[in-house]
Amino acid sequence: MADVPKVVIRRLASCRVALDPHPDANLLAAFVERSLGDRERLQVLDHLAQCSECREVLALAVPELAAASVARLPASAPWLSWPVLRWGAAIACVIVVGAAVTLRQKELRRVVSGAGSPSAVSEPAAPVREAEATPSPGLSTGNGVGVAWKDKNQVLSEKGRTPKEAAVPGRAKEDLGTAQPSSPGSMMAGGLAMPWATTPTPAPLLQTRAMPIPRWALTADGTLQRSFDLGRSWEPITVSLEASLRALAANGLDIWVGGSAGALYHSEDAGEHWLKVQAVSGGRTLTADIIGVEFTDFEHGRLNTASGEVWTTEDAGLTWQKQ
Amino acid sequence: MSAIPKKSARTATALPAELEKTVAELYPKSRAESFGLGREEFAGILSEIAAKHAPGASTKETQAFCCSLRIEELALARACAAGHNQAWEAFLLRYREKLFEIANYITKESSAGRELADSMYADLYGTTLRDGQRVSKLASYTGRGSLEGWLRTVMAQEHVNRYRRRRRLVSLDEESEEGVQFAAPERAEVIAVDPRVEAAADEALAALPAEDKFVLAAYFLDERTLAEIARTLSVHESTISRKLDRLAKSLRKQILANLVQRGLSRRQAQEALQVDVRDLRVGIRERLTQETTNSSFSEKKAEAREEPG
Repeated sequence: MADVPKVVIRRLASCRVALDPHPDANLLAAFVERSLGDRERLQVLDHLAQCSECREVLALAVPELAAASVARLPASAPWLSWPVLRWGAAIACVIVVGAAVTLRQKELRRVVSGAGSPSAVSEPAAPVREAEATPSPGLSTGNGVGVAWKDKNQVLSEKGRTPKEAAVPGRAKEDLGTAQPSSPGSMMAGGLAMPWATTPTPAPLLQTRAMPIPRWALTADGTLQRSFDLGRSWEPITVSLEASLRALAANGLDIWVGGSAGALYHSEDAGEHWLKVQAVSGGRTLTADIIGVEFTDFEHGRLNTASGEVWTTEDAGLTWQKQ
Repeated sequence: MSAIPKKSARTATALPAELEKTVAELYPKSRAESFGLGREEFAGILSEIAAKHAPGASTKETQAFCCSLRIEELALARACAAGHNQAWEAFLLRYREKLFEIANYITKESSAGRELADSMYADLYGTTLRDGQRVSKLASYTGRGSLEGWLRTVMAQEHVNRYRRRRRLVSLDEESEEGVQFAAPERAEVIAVDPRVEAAADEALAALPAEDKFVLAAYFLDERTLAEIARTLSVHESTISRKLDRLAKSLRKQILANLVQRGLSRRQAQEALQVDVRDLRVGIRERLTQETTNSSFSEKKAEAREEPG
């Protein structure tokens, strides 16, 4: 991380302008929960920038559960930095071209030697949006086929929920290869195993930057599923114990899911860690069922609700505007 | 639970017809009746909160504001403050254990946590009497955020206040044992700074949005981690990391531009900032101390041994 000039830190510390009255507990709590209107939020932020006491209170008042939802990415190496992306793209191109050439040669050799059906083409790490995602073959609920995620605006009827309370600890986590005790963050990502889940293939280490891009699917009952092997096997990802998920948008490792009662979650690491996002615009919180999620890039997104509302963001969900 | 003298029902101010409609919609949703709050009392509470937080708002805005409140939690809290037993039963069922969990999380220690939770409970229940009636902290809850969030914040405030009070009350015995009263006064350190650099920095800081200033203060002054700051703002840690990176670069650029505006050349501005980056600290003691140093005792003994004879 680049250094901030020391003079900035000194001037920040020495700033002693007349402060507004301290925001009361109602305002601070509403600030944490993003229930304030834009104007009030700015006023509170302005005060917080200058008042160490209120910052101290705020740090203690943020609930622990929210802490678990924040992605624990190494702060020193933001993987979305431009140099990393540039070299990553170059390496990916080399791998794709090399794989294509190798496979073509193999095909030609087989044709020459009279071999059988060609081997499966290994697909490049294409953006998930363009890949067809289907649920696990074992997922036959009897109520219909699990809905492919690509149909973003499809409204799923409530098929009833699976007994999520019957937590089978560790199955999904074991398959992810994490040996450490589950933190709340990883529990949210994969703490429950669905009865019908096939044995997933061990997932690669998801804490590293060289993370394969997964495919995603939503089942009829609103469960999110993830596959790292092009849909051959699926693992359920527990994002929320209350919400039934209805729509998602994925771009590489970045994924947004939306569901009932305004439930909105975001992960930057292929579902390893989730952040619950509350869309608020002009003091109004999004509480309608989200039936459509679109993100054209990391920052620009759009939500459609069952009640016909449209909410947009231009800063990766930091702020929202109701259209 | 002992009988709590109930507060007299608030005299409801006459609400406009449109707000009466809002009250009629919200009252059943709030379950206020089950908590012992009458409709007039409920309307009075809404009216009071709307007047405080949305003064001068139009009827439509006030309606929207009332609808954005946590109505059920508001009714519960205010019914508790008013002394309704059924409300207290519901409150204890929902929040009793949570109070202890929150207190333990804040204090990081179970005995201090218990003490904080007990003290909090007493304030919520209302052990202070005013005009023969209990004064409960719950009467100040307005429903802007969740009741749990409000409880967390109130407890955090109480904890911070206690900690600051305790820090000021230093035992003189402890001080004399540690020899603090005999310690030499600390020498003031003078940091040699170009006032133009400071002015340029002030200007650059003033132009920053409030959120950016908050992130800078939390990271550099409070030494919070990226994760802690991220969860405060409900964003990802990587967002804060990128923001700080971006801020560092843009602040440096802006300060240089401000210095150039103040008449320095580009090179002079860079040098001025570079000098500041090295953070020159000029101690008064060092300035006054002679350059010759006194040998330590062991060094003198070694010198004596080396002398011939």
